[in-house]
Amino acid sequence: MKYGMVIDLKKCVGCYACVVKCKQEHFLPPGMTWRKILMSETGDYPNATKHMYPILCNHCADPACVKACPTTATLQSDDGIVTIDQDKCVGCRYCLIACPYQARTYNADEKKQYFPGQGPTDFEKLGAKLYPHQTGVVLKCNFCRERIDAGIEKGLQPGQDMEATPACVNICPAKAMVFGDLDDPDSEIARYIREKKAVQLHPEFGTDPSVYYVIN
Amino acid sequence: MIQTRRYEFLVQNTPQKEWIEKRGILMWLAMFFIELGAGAFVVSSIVGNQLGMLLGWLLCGVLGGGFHLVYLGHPTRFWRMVLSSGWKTSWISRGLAFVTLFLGLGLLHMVLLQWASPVTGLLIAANIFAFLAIIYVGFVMASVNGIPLWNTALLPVLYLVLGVWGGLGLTILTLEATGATTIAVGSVEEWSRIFLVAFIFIVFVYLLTIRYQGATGKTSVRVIVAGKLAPLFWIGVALFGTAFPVGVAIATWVAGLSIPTALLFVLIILELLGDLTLRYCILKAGLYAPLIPSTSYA
Amino acid sequence: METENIQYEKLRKEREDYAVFNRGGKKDYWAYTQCGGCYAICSAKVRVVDGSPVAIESVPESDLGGKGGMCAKGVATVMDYHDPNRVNYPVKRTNPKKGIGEDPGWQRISWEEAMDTISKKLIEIKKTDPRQLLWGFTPGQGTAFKGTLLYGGFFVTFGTLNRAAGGVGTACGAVAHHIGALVHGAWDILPDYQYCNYVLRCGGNEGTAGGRMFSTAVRLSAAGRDRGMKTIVMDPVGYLAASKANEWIPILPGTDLAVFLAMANLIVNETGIYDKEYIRTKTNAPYLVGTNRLLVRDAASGKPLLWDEKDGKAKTYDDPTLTNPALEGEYTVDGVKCHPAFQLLKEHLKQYAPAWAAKISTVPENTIRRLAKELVEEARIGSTIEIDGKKIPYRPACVVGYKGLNTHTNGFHQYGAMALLNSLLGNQDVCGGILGSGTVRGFGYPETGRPSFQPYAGVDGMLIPGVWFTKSPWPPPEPAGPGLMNFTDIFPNAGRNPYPYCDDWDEIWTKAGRPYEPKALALYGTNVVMNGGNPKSAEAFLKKVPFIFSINTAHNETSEGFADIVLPECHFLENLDVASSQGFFFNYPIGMQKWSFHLGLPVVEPKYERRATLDILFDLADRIGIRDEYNSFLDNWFSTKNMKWEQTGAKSNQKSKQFDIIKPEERIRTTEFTDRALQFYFGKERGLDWFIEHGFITWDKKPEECYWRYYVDARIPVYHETLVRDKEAIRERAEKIGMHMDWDQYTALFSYFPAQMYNDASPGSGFDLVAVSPRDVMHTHRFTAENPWVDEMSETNPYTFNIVMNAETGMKKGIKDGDVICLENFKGTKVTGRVKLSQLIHLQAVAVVGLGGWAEGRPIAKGKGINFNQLLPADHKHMDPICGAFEINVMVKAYKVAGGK
Repeated sequence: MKYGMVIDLKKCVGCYACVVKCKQEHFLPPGMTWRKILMSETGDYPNATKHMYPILCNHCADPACVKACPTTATLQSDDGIVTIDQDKCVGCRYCLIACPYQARTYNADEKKQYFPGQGPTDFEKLGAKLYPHQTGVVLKCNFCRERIDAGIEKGLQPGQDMEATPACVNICPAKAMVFGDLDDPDSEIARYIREKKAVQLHPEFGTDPSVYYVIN
Repeated sequence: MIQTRRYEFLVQNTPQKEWIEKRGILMWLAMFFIELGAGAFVVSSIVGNQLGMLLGWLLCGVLGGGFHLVYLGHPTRFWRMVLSSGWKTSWISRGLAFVTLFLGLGLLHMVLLQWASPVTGLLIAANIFAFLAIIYVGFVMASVNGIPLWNTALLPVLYLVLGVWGGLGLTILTLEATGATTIAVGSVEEWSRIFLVAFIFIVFVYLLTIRYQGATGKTSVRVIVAGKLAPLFWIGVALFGTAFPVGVAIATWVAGLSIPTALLFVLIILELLGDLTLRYCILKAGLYAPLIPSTSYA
Repeated sequence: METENIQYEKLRKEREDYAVFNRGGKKDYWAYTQCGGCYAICSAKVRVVDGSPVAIESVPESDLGGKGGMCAKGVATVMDYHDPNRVNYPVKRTNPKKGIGEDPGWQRISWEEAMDTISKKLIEIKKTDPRQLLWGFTPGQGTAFKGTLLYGGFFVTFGTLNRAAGGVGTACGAVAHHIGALVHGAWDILPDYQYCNYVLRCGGNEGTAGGRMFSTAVRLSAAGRDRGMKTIVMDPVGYLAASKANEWIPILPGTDLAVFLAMANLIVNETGIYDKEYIRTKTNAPYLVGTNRLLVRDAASGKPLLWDEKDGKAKTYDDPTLTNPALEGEYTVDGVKCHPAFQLLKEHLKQYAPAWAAKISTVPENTIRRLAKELVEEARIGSTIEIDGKKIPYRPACVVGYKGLNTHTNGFHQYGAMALLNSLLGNQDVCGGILGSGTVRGFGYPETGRPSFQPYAGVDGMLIPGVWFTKSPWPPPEPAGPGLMNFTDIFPNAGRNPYPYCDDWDEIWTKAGRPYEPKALALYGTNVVMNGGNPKSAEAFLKKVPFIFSINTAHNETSEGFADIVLPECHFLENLDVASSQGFFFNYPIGMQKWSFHLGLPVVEPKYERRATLDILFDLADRIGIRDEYNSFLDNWFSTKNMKWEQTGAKSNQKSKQFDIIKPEERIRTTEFTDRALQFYFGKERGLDWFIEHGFITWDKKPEECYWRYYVDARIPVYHETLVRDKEAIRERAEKIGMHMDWDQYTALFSYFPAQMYNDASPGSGFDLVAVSPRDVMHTHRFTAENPWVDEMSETNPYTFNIVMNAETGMKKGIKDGDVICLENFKGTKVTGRVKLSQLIHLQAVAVVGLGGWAEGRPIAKGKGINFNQLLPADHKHMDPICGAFEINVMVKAYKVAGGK
């Protein structure tokens, strides 16, 4: 069992829904996102190309971050998801430095507010209750671990049933993402990767990412 | 070429920030003092200079360890770094274990030395861990394969040279301060000069090889020798840390004189400044390669 | 439900009504509603915890939206709701000074005082001359239908057609909606993504960044791409829709008209392959045109005549014996020499050579030829397809476009020429082609047959939309006036235009004899200082209006600078709104996507003293004494008896005595009104309670509904006779008051005219760049800039806050990436911003997303982005003479003012 994701860049329009939804789902503080959209250009006018890549933690099969962590706060579970135990994280940020995809962010204790000087909104206050984040630790995408776990308990299938699927996958209006078990050759994601010849980003880093891309 | 705006993150070469910007400056200092301290301890213990050993221990444990702890998001959890099973894979875990063992054994040795009789193997053990404490940061950084400037076997070697060289320098200072024999100072001075040469050689080879390690490596080196960090590099590292000591060494050798103590002190301080500056440049110029293909207009 | 603290009686009752929404007092629930992030109004469901919305997505089981997916702006609306800067109470201005950047000195007042003040002013105005009241709405944050239908209907009932919404429509779809009505009976158009194979997209980014049917279009177009649908984008900007296309063809802004005419020429005169059957039966191309360029009409009935080739006779268009109307030839009818309009079109098009078009547009001649060839090939003219057992013409190729085509002084001809291409392909409202958006022919929910509506044939057999939201486009009213401050009475084809926020308004009004002065302006959102041309032009007019009130969810540059009273509207998450369910705007999904009737529901109890829009309007109507008429208007509309603005109010219903939803004398509130409307549509069991639980109702679409073209006997214009007919009447009136328009544009066949911007600055004058303003994927209007999540995202997008310039062009000017540059227009107006060099923009274009605000009530938006509209001159010369579209591009020069980094 190895959870993974495929992002079809042919479908993706770079609308930022996945980035914002992740912030919403996890009540992330100002300035922090667990996903990003990278935009660049190559080539010369008028035959230039725009590149648009949503990136997130790749939940690598051979993660550099897990190796780097001195306290075993960052772990990889049997289903492939790499998580951070905030209670164990000491904030040394070695994992952050070690990740060649720069997927992690340090949650500095800067007491930022979404409407600076106007106090935390009810949303932020609720976030502190519903999905608290410690400061002084490193945070990152967890493939919506809590949705997957809660969904499996209800007998739902991650990747097939929206309630058990990462929020970003659900919110994409272009339906550009598929989530599921990479180890199951008959799963929708495995078939998608095969048929569309999806590739990993920078396999030469040697971390064996679990996020694949169908390149435009 | 290099990220200057938020939307250039991982689209242009992206500098690492956590270990040099804002609070990250403490990591720079932590790395310096840990290695310098351990190096001073090792060298001083070999020439039997107790003041040097104590100074080394304090620089490593109090300043180095202190800065590292203060840098952490949760300093009170630091024990997890040493006592968990992180050492199996993590160079920081291993390194801090080395530092802890060095400090523990080293302290024990110094106490016994001062108020009892030294145990033979203890110093050797302490020095082994001190040695490991000098180079572990090099491995911490070298294992980051996302930053070409750091991802080289030469980095631990460079840091070892810096640590020992700095240690030699500090030992000279403490020897002079405690009025040690000129022979002891002289031999340490000689080793110091050997390490100066080694330093110049390693830095040169290091920067040159990184320059050939892809576009990002090339950019990192360019930043250091010809870009934003160039003034710092050429004044701090080349002039203070290298040219002055080399110049003085040649001049005195040609003239057949020995370096006056005051000048020696200044040179050692300059060498340490060079060390510090080089570390700063390496941390600051650590760039991640762009994740996606992109044109740069820089 | 805290109602004790509410002093205002009406508001208290409204809140008591809202008890039905408390969802059993649950602390953590999901509730249905419709998104108000833009005017696409996608389906939505919202999670509410402890009375606060915390998450939003679209409804996976509905075709309206991304099937669970939703764009970033929509997701971000949760944070808008939590914005502490929202308007919570009625406020009045204490600083008598009005102007851009003035501090209004807001003082909280009671609803009683606010409504009393407003209604007294309006009563006074109605007594003397209702036209003294101007009004404007925005299809902005969750307001789309509340604007056109509820708000617009109010003022139409009041008796004033002085719509003054600034850039709303004029800097958007003024022409597109007009031609959309005439050609598709629809507000807008979209490719039939499910079946289309080839899309030529010009000047519009829907499906990637543009807003029309946002998430639905993104979903459908992504699936289309996946299926192998090919897209060619012809646009000055290459990093938006073009980045998802198979090919990008850079074109000089506003010159698509030349390319379209050349392509039409190739199709008609060179290849000769076009859908003759379609042209013959579905357009007015076979209508006979006399030497006076007017249609030849039957003496008795006045109906246009066609020449039947079968028996060599002239017949009316609705003659049952008409078999084979001629498209070409010369005929004589009652001694008058005449030709079918198509014959004239053929001749007319010959002057538009591809080489000529290439020179004007910078699109290579070979490319123009190739596009024409490919379109015809891909259109598979003559083929059919079976959908749900019905044989439908199959034309899987189309041309689509929007703002980039129609917001120019040549917009009517430019957008019209695009429609002409589609007509030649015969792809309009058939399978695979270009569809009116949303679906405009509906038989209603199968169990009830409601709501049902369809386009139909009107005067001269020409298509009339079954539903419309502004001045009805067909038949055009007789030119009249000047009597309206926006002069739309003079221009029959203009539903709106930039007036009165133009520099020459005062001068023109004086020449018109100043029949009355503006006494009040009623705004619904609509940030006129920002959404039209130069803010100073708007300021000049606004300062003349003694009383301005605005209904807002948040303050903006216009309310702060100029409003006397601001009323707090519910955020869409607090608002009950059955107007937004009305799909014909954008949101009933196109093609064979299912009918999806959602409802704007409050997911939380409104806070403070915010009120639902319709309740505010009911209240005002009560106080002014137009409630009976307003009720009648709403009853006509929502019951589908008369879904137009042109109603005769209570009189029309009182004749028939048929009141289906609300009687004139009833004083019900929004909740009751909504409940009744829903039950009217879907049955007694499916009122408000049912919708609170189920959220929406969906049913299968029939091919005769979305592919209605051959099921409705009506024709569309290829020949615009009324432009010729009314030209003199319009010209006389306009010239008298100093509006010297390009009257040559009043011609029946689409012709080439350069956009005004190219006349403003001569070549060699130094103003060598065309400044354009495309939509950014994360922004719509300007309120999105206030959202902190959207703001964060914008910082990470290279194109959002910057001036985008071609790299080669920039380097020639010594401009480096990241430099701060100035764009200066031919009038000396300047804007500055940071430059982003790009390979994905035309050599002669610079692109700026229109943002750049200064309102104190929008602290996050303040100072972000660049105020592009400042550069746009606002006067009659920069207005399309036919539909009133605003010239949205301008010639500028660019130079560095500071180094970057």
